[in-house]
Amino acid sequence: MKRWTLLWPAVIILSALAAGLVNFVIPGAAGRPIIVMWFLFVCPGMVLVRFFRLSEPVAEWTLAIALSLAIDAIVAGMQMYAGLWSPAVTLAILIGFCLVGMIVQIALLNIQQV
Amino acid sequence: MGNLKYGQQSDALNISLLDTLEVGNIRPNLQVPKRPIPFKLPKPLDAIYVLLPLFAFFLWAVSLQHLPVQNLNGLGLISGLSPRIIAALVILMISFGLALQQPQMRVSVLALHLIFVIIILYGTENLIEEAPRFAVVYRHAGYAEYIMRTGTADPNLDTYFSWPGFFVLSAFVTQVAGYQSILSYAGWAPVFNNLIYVGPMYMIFTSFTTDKRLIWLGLWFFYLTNWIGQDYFSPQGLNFFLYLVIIAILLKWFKIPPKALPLVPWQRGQSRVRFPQLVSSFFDWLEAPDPFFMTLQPWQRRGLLASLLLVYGLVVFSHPLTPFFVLPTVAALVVLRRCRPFWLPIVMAIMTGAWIFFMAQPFLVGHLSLVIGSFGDVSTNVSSNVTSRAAQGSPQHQFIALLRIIMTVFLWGLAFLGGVRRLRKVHQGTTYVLLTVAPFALIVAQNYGGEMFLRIYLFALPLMAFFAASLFYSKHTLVTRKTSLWMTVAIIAMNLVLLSGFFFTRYGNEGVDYITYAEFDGVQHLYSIAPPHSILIEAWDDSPWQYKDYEKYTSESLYDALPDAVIHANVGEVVRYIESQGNPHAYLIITRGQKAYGATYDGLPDSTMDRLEDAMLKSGDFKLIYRNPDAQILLFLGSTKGGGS
Repeated sequence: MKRWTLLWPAVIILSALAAGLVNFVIPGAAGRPIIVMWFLFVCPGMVLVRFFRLSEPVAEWTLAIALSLAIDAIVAGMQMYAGLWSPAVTLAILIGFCLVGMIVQIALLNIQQV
Repeated sequence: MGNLKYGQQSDALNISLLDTLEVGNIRPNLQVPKRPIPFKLPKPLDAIYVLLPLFAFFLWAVSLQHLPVQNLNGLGLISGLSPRIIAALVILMISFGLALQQPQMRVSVLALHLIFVIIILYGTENLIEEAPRFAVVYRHAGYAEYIMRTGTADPNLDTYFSWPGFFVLSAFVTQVAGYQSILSYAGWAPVFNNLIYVGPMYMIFTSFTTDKRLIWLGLWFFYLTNWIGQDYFSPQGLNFFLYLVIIAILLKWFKIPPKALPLVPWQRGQSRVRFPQLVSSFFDWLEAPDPFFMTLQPWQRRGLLASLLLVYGLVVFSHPLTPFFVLPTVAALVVLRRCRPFWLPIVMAIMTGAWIFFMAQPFLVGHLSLVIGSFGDVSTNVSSNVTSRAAQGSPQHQFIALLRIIMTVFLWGLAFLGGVRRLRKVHQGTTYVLLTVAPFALIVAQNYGGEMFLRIYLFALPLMAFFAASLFYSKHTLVTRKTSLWMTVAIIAMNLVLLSGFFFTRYGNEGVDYITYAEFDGVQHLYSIAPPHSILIEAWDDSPWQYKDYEKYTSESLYDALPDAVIHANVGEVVRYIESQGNPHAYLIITRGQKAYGATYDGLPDSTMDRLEDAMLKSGDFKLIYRNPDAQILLFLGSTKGGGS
């Protein structure tokens, strides 16, 4: 497995954990807005984009941002229309989505290597 | 066409093997490995193209200082801007032109210029003004605050709650980021939006040409002409990005390859009809395949299509108008066999229709005539969008409005000339001409409160900017070409012309758009003293209010209800209007922004609001309960004296 193929999984997992940390453990952290916005605007979409293997950084970043915004809004919207508005739960869902997505991707990489 | 051969490689721009295929060939995505590109050390002179933008950015940064609104005249931001900021931008324009024309052009240097110009052009006002600009941003803050507080979006409360996606997203992000309101970060929306527009536009342009100079000049022109101001914290600012992404996905990965295009009769040799040369040339051009195709694995296609529909889902969920820009554009691309799959516009239409029918019904019930009332009335739609805007307001505003028309015609003229020049040499580009003209179809449908032309300008702008840049780089070649001094001078001159227009066209109404701390303090005070269910009245349009407790107050504007009573200081009429509302608690607020709006857009004398305030206080029906330099609040006492005039 090439070293760079693990870069994004590592970044996404760390970002998800950091977003959870500044929301649920240390909500007064100074960098909370930056960490949270980075996670919400890039990570959920990048989880999906990594599966497409586009090999074009501009396209990957563009799709990652667009998909992230769409996933964030649609998950939050579904909760709102279901009468279950809770930003903390929405964030937890997105963190879970990213972690599961990255674990699946790492597993797929291992299978391909084998 | 094209004089490139397979395997030819540019040493100047690191164009890869894949970029050098003949037009019409299939550019594979996965199978062909990229040839490693030798690293070239920069020459010492190259440093100047990095140092110049860095110096410009430094000069801009040290020149930022608070700009009081009193320093602005009717020409807007330019009248109060530090000359050093303008000097920094001029340096950037020159530096970009030089860097672009270098034989050893470096994309990283151009990207540095682009980032700096976006920050300076779209971020300066947020750094030197006071509260977030644009009164409507405060209402958007109110929508997000309502969702944050109640966890719902009541479509009976406001039109926007029938398309709440953007505000749901804003409310969610605001809460998990630890903010109390979107106003903490909304001022940065223009910079954020314009930065994220770069990616999809780059994808669109690279699906048309490999000429990096043309691509970067097209991007540069876009940012020098995006004066339309729809990139503030708003659903349309985000939706323009989503529109670009959808088009970029289609052009990048879903073009129909040449062999799949149907042959027209005269190509098959089956037609007995002889077409005139001009007509058959036109059809040849119409049928000519687009350059640069990418093959994808079926699972990649499915994944990208699902992504496209997910993004379109947010469009449908968050803005009433954007689906009607996306749909005709995608339909045109599919019907004219530029992109696939054929079912895509059908699915998109079903998604749009389903949302309107099931989720936006409360809006439609009350506003159907508003939606379809002006359908087909092109002359009225054009006049409400263009002529009426240019013929109203103060002389300086009329000058700004006229300049907007002139700069629009200038850009479109450049784009036309550049497009004709390019298409004559390249003989391709049906798709891109379609993308340029498709937004204009919307002028038939609606005037959108006099804003449809602004939206059309915006949605056509990326391709207009690209074709305008084509005037300078019209050959369909790789980038290794001789660069002439005259071309460099012409590009720099064009940059400076567009920059000069930009400050007037984008920031020409800054005296109205500017929100002072004192104005917002006045509005905050109003919400702190007015009991829930009070009626809040603004004397004229453009108050930074409704930023909280949206459903708890009735907000009215004398601008809409009784403009003549304001102009003639007819207090009796105002009193009768308030009494007709049947609410014992009524407050009237007058702000600096309202006065500026009236003077700028409606040509009212500066003293109009002061005369109204004096008349109200003299009538005994109102009592001044708050005053600061930019806001006054009057409490309605009841018609103790029967009103006066």
